[in-house]
Amino acid sequence: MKRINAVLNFDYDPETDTISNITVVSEGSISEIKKTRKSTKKVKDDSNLPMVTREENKLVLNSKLIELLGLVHEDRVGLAYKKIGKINYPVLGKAETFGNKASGNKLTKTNTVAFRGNNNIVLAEYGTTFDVELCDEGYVKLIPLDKPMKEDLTVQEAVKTISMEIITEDDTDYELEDEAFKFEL
Amino acid sequence: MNFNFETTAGASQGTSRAVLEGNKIHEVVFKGIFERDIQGVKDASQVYKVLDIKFENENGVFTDTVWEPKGSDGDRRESTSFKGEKLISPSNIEAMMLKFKHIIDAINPELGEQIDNKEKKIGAKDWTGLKQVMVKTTEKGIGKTTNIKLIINNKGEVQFPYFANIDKSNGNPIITNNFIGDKLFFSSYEQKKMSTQATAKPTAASSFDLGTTASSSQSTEDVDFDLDL
Repeated sequence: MKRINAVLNFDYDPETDTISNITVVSEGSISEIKKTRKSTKKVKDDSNLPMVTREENKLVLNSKLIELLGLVHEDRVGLAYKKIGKINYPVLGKAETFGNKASGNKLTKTNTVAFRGNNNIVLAEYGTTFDVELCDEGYVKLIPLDKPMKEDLTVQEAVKTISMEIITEDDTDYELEDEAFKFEL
Repeated sequence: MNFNFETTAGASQGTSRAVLEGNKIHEVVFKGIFERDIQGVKDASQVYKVLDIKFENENGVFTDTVWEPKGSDGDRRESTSFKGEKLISPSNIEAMMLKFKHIIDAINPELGEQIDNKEKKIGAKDWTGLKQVMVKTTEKGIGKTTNIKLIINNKGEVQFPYFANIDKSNGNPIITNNFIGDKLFFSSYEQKKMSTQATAKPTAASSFDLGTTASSSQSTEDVDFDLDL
């Protein structure tokens, strides 16, 4: 398509709202018109399952997850950590489910939540793409799809998991007489 | 000489309870709030009047001790973030009152709601009065099961996490990190710190100069370990 820059004369009839007798007074330059289209880039949202993706400075929630958590634009969304079983899972939900309405960041129209700095670094230890599982408390626990979950044992728990056994050659070694011990020196 | 276990019968297990583990959320029983006087160490004439807030479960006990505020504890604190922003933190007195309210909300939620709705006004004119208020308002909840979040501080001590902040919209002090009740979680900051503490390695013994080389010439062979019984 070409654009012609020119000065035109024409008659305009306001009653009929029509123009007639168009004449070119002076012709200017002719230039190419580049077709511009509005960006139709959308977050890839083709999963049938609710999912979260961690990006450099944000979390991307897919539409299934938005639906699952009942989120709407501008709701505050928080992420924290909770021990479930032996694993400290990242959990995500509406700010109020974490007992603090002011926590987290607002959900944008494109279903993303700002997630920068330390928050992002810590979650990166867990993974980038997460499957989710809804908990009774109204938040979802995030299960990484690209990294295995590590058990997060405390020292006391680790000790409890070690089976300790005393091996003796002969049980009679530990039989004690009723009499008090006597040391003869 | 005779030896027997009669005099030590029943004493094989210590009676003191372990402190609950840090970096964990524990289900506990609230045991009450108690007034206590602590004798000064440097100045024996000084007596510190404190409040002990006690919790326990089968694994141990946790006591949070609240000290009487001093004059400067009423001032808000200013600091600068790494971005150069001016940060204002609640005063120690504001933080203490937030702590007390957070505990009332968990232990005596009906009263907590009445305070929120301004149906009840509770206060005290001095520390003695405030201590009594806290003992009284939480008596109803003794024996109640709740949850507490404990962290390990930089000194290795178990304590409640830092919880107080300023609401930027109105300048009021608020709790941004719950430590008692049902909705307890670890923040990214706490999670990172716990990970660092869990993977911390002790300094290698070989890096210490124990001064053993200087005395190594002193033999221990001739030392007599005879026991006179």
